[in-house]
Amino acid sequence: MNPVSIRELAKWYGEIAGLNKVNIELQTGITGLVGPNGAGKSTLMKILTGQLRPSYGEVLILGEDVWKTPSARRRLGYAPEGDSFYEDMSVLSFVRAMGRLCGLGGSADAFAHEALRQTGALEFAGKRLKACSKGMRQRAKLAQALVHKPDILVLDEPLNGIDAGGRREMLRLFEELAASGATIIVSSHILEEIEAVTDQILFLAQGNVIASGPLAEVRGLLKDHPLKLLVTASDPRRLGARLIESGLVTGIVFQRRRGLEEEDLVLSVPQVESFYRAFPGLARELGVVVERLVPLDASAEAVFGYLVGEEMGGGA
Amino acid sequence: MNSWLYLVYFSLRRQLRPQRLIVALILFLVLAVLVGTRGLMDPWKIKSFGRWIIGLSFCRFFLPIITLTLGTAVLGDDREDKTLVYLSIRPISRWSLYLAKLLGALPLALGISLGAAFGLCAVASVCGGLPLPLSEVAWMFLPTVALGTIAYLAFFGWLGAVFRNATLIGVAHVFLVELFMGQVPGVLKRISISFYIRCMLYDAGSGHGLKPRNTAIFQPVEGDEAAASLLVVAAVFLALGMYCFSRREYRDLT
Repeated sequence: MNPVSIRELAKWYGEIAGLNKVNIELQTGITGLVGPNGAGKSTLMKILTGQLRPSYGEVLILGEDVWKTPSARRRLGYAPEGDSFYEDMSVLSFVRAMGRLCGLGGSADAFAHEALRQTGALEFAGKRLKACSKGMRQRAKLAQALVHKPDILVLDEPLNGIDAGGRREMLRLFEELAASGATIIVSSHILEEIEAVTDQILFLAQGNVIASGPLAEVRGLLKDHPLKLLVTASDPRRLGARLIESGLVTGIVFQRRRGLEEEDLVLSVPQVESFYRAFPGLARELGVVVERLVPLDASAEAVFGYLVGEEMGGGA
Repeated sequence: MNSWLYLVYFSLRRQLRPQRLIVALILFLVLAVLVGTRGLMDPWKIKSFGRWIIGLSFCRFFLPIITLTLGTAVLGDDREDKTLVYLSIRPISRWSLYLAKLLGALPLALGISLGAAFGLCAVASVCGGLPLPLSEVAWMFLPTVALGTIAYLAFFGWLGAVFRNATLIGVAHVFLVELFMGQVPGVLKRISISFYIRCMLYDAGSGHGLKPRNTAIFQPVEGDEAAASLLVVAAVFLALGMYCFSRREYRDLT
């Protein structure tokens, strides 16, 4: 059984579709949720955490319907995007209270300390939330999501307001939690952050999952948007001619390196996997030494730009 | 159960906001000064004290205002502060979440209303020379105040669960239904909670001449019937509140 099963999920706000027949099976590990504003990320997260009821379809958390079965939420931790808190409480008392609301009882204090330690919030545990900085509040929010050691974590923009060092710590924490068997769903508008911790990415736009899976696979699906590869080789002209002849590339641009006579090749590759399979043999056959092979636009941001462009009927 | 009981306690603590208590204290002091001053000039009788202070000023003004403040805050505070999300993601069913929140507000509402009513009786006894011992006067009025508090709290709690601007609607209800409609001849006044409260008061103070000015127009019901009605009102609005909260989606949680 998959930790999270989303089947035929649709959510309508009047005549506006927040989500449109979404089908997702999530495994343990980290899944990134990417999409522009209004794509349906928050709606999906709210349905996943039992705050909104699906208009159609179902969401199963470890086999249980999260809207109909409140006890399913015991295995779920959620850090909302909003910066709202019980301002008069201290960080520790807030996290402890949330733990007690999850049924931790007398052990809530120990669990709260552990969650605060994990998120690096222990040093300001006694501070009132209204006196905390944005970064501290983000850590407190994460700690309340972790306090009862849930199997599934839903984190909406969890790294907002956290400094670069803190972000690295948090990403490391997510990786540790995922390695220990947790299922983590993270949304972020900073795609590099998501790419850094997972290659399982769900791309949402206008309430639809427009692509999902490892970034490279998704990228490979984009025939109309060939991957740009930068190649530094000992004989770029010969290599370029052979590549065009083989049909592995649909376009080549020769790019002179700054202040030098040498040229690099910028290849347009429609079928990434076929290219990677054939390219080494082809270079060997020509006796060309390849010094560098770098994808120029395989970042999630570029992929998302292409996908959304395609989905909307245009090109990126 | 453990987490539900904690939620009751958590909700009670959240209700203990100084601003709210100060409003109650100011209103009480105004009434207490009025009772004391009037009592020093012209000693109170059970009939006049019951009619003007407990029946009119307290039960039709102080009590609705205090329970309106507390009842609409049952969910209103969390919606306003956008903290309802922290409760709605816990493994607690939504109807029981509402019940816990309302039960959390009940001790404070009863504490304020019974404490204030007892305080007014005490002021009237000390400054106004009520002809009965304080304990007897209190026993005469406090059960009515307690039932009225429960009924009003359940009603305003339901308003808070259904309407975003529950406080405004509640204020309109207090003035239009509880105050104005409560004076209208005929049976229309029976839709107001204050009607049953007054019926209970008249029944409790009947031995001391406390009765409607015009029974034919007021058409009171028996005290037991009024008490039962208040309990039914409380139970119905509590059930409605639980139902509405369990069905309703709050998109503005965060």
